[in-house]
Order: sequence, then C-alpha cells, then structure tokens
Amino acid sequence: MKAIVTLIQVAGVVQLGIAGANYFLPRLFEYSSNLPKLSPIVRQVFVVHSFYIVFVLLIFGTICVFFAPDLAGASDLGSFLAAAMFVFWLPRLGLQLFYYDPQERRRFPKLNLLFVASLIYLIFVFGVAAYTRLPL
Amino acid sequence: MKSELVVLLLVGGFVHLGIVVGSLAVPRVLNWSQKLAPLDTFTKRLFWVYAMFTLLVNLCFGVISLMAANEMAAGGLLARLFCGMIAVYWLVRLLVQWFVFDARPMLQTSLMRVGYHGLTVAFIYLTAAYGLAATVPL
Repeated sequence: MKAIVTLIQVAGVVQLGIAGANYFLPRLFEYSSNLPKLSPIVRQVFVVHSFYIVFVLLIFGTICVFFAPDLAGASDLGSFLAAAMFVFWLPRLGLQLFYYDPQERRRFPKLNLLFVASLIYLIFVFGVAAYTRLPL
Repeated sequence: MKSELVVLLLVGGFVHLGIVVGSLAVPRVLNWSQKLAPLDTFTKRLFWVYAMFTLLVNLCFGVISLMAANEMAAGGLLARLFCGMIAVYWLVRLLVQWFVFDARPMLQTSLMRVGYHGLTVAFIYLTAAYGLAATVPL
C-alpha cells in the first residue's frame, strides 16, 4: 500500500512535468506559422483544447500528489479517478507510437524516449492502482 | 441537502454523456477534414489528439459522476476539489462560449442554434451543480 502511494505521488509529479512541457510546444512545433492557416473558429477550438489538456494535467497531477492514498484505494472516488487516469493515458501511448509521424518523433529522439517512458510509467501505476482497488 | 446534491451530480453525469455524444458531430458540422487540410501532418494529428482527449475527459467526468455521485456529494476534501475542478472547467468553457468563440457564421440553421444554446445551458448547469457540490456546507 505504501509503495503504490509513493508511485502515485511520483506519477503526479510526472504529470505536472508533462503539463509544464506543454509551454514549449507552440515554439517547438511552430504554431505561429501553422495556426494562421486555419479558419478563426477551428483555430480557437485548437487553442481552447490545448489549454484544457494542460488544465486537466495540472489537476490530475495535483490530485495525485496530495490525495495519493485515496487513489491507492482509500476511497471509491479515488479509485475511479485512478481508473480515469489509466483510461486517459493508455491510448496516449498507442498514439505516440503509431499515430504521430515517425519523422517528427525522430526530430527529438531523447524527448520522445522520455515521454514514452513517462507514459509507460503512468499506465503501469494507474493500472495497478485501479485494478487492485476498483469497487466494481 | 446531500440527497439533492447526489441527484444534481447524477444529472450532471448524464449531461456530460450528452455533451460527449453531441461532440461526435462537431468534426462534421465544422467540416474539420477540409479546414485542417492546410496544416502540416503533425499539427493536424495533434489537433485530433487534443479533440479526442477532451472528449475522453468529458466522458470520464460523466462516468465518475454516475458511479461515485454519493461520494462526490459527501463533502470530503478530494470530492470538493474534484467537483470544484469540474465547475471551473465548465465555467471557463462557458466564458469561452460567450467571449472567445465566434460561432455566428455557424448558426445558420435552427438545429445549429438549438444545439449551440443547448450547450450554453448545459455549461451553466454543470458549473452550478458542481460548484454547489464543491462549496455547499453539509
């Protein structure tokens, strides 16, 4: 029980790190030259979605750091949140490996490796937390 | 009060699921496949991934509200934080609806107008219901 609590807290820090890394995405992927090609409404949708992803990551990270025992099974709500985070991160790994252009991933090999390792860690931790405690 | 909050959150769960179902029509309604064509492949895929994850988050909020409404209404610290986060999430979305998105060019048919204003009502409901669950003394 204590080990999974620590693992969840680390997962919280990892998610806060991913949220922080989003700050660099617009420059890294040249949003300023790409987004003007879109109609205003589609551009606004993109920007709003970007903010929402960061917001959700910040909240997920904060919950993991401060409520890790709940996510480890001390409360039903915590277990559902752990399951939600598992469902959130699982497809992200598939997308990273099979959907994004391999050429883009090769542009930043170290970052890509770090991100994939983070995803595997998050999936493992939330999978274990949810699977062992989900009140179903 | 707690039982009323549970009902509000259960309704909130269904409203989330309704938004998820409605969101599935957005790419067609806004003609994303054509409008995203000028983007490079990476940014186009990033756009779809963001959209998919936003949908997934809304789905998770809905499912958790339906499965754990009792605990969310019980007033624990995690429950209040989670409800407060959902309230802020939808409050911001409501402000975006009113002050950022310019949907006027899209609102040409009655169906589009009903859908758009229905969404606004849904955002107001979710902000109020989850805000209440986050703040009301039990």
